[in-house]
Amino acid sequence: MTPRLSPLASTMLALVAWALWLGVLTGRVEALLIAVPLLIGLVRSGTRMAAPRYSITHEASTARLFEGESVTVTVTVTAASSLPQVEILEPLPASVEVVSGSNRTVLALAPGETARFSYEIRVPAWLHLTLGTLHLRIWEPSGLRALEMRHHDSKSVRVYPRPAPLRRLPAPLRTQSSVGNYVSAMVGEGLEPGEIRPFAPGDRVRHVNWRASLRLGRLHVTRHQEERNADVVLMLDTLSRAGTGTASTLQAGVRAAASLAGAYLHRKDRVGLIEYGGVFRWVKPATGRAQLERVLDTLLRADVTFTYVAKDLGLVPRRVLPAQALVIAVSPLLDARFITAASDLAARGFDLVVLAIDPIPFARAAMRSSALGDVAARLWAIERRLELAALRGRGLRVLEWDPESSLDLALTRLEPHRRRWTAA
Amino acid sequence: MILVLIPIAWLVALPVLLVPARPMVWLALAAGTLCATGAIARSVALAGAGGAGAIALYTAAILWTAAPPSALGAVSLGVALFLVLEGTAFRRRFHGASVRPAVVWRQALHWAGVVSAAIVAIVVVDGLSGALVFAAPSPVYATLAAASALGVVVGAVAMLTPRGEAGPR
Repeated sequence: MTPRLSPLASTMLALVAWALWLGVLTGRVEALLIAVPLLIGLVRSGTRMAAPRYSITHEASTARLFEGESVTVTVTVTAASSLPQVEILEPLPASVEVVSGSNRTVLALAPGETARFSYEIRVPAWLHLTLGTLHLRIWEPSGLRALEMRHHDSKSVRVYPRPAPLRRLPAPLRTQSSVGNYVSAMVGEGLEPGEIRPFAPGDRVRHVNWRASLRLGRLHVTRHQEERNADVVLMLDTLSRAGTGTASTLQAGVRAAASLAGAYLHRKDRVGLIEYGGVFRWVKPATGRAQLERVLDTLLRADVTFTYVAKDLGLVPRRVLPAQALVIAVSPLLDARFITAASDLAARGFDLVVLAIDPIPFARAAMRSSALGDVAARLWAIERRLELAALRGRGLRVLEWDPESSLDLALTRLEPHRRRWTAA
Repeated sequence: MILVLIPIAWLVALPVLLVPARPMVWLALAAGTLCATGAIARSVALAGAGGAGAIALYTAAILWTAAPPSALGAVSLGVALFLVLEGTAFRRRFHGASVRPAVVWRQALHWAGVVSAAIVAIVVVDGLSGALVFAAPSPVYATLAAASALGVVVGAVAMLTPRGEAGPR
């Protein structure tokens, strides 16, 4: 609790002294009388400010939401002593937009009175928002003095990146043992007809292929291929970033990873995440809605942390990076260490797709427009095209993505180059 | 805003009513403009500077006319100055905030209380002023003048000293 004098007090004091000085100098009583209202105002604030007694609660309507959605914050103040002017401010990050109401409100409360105010905030970009730090200023009605206090009731609000709907996804080369949406090479119970073979004891009658049996003169059954799921591991590059703030390759990468995770989990696949950067984090592959939250929670913490150390993917436990997983590396491919790590994975036989985020538009947006900048961007684009061609030449499946266009559109370009399935 | 601009009009009008000369009109308008700029820009220091000019002009006007002491004019000028400063400070400290009507109502009550107290006090002081000021020996004049001048300097320095962001505006 910090009491402070406002500039109004100094101004009033100066004017009082000025009026007194003129009055004495000129010998006119009127100049002295001018100071009387100001003096009364000063004297009234000269009394000791009593410590205010109150209770305050802070509530957020939700703790989890997707970017672009709104959260309503409600602050309730109950005064035990008189609070003639209480100014309550909740500081918000610059990216957060107040949709309705105000995060800075002035209330007047009598003893025992309760007042409540609400405001709605919209978070346009994903972030981990911490609400509940309230700054209070309790003003005297004169405005000459104020008591400043801070109230902490931390509330974590997670604003997740909104997964974009993806109709086409890179199909995994290998499937796993659980039921899923991919037609596997394994023959068993399924919907997709596979092979026809002679009837054997134990075969179910409903599998008898009557047309083939009639033509071949003996009973034949149709075998079906099993529908299986796959393991998908998303590898997010947090070694480097181009652009600033909400317009950066990291932001685009996180959005892409969230969209891919959502789409694969919707297909019953097991999805894991590896954040490859200064901080090495991972999420073990799993299925379900809870897994999507786990992945999104980890993505919220994704940030570029500078390091000289090149992380070894060999350190990643096998259960986090299963041998038969489809690995989708999401990266602007600006750091050679990430390119090396991706190449190593491909060399070790992992089914790897590199989603290369184009960093040039982000870098251009962060720079001032100039002719030299345009030339540099063009040269960079040429150089980048050569680098990607070299990576493709080394056997990496690289998919270029300009974040200004949809990810879905970019993913369709990969489809013709991939086989639908191979033997598990 | 109107609550601030009306007293400013009175700060300009009062010296001009006493001395309706062209230089006085210009000087009063300059002081009023300074006050109004302060009120619009929500700068208490600027409004205070305009107020200081208005006090000086009023004192010069009553000296020029050599009129008999009048508590009414002085009271009204003091009240107007108080309302200008308080109104400007109120607008400044709650600018951009959502202010509940109860706050404005209580503030108006506070101002009415101070103005009423000032009127009562001036009625009392007016009666005693002659004895307090004109009967005092000359060393008391000098001491009072020096103390007042010191007050001006201290107040001005405090007014111009930059404050941290955490301080009240």
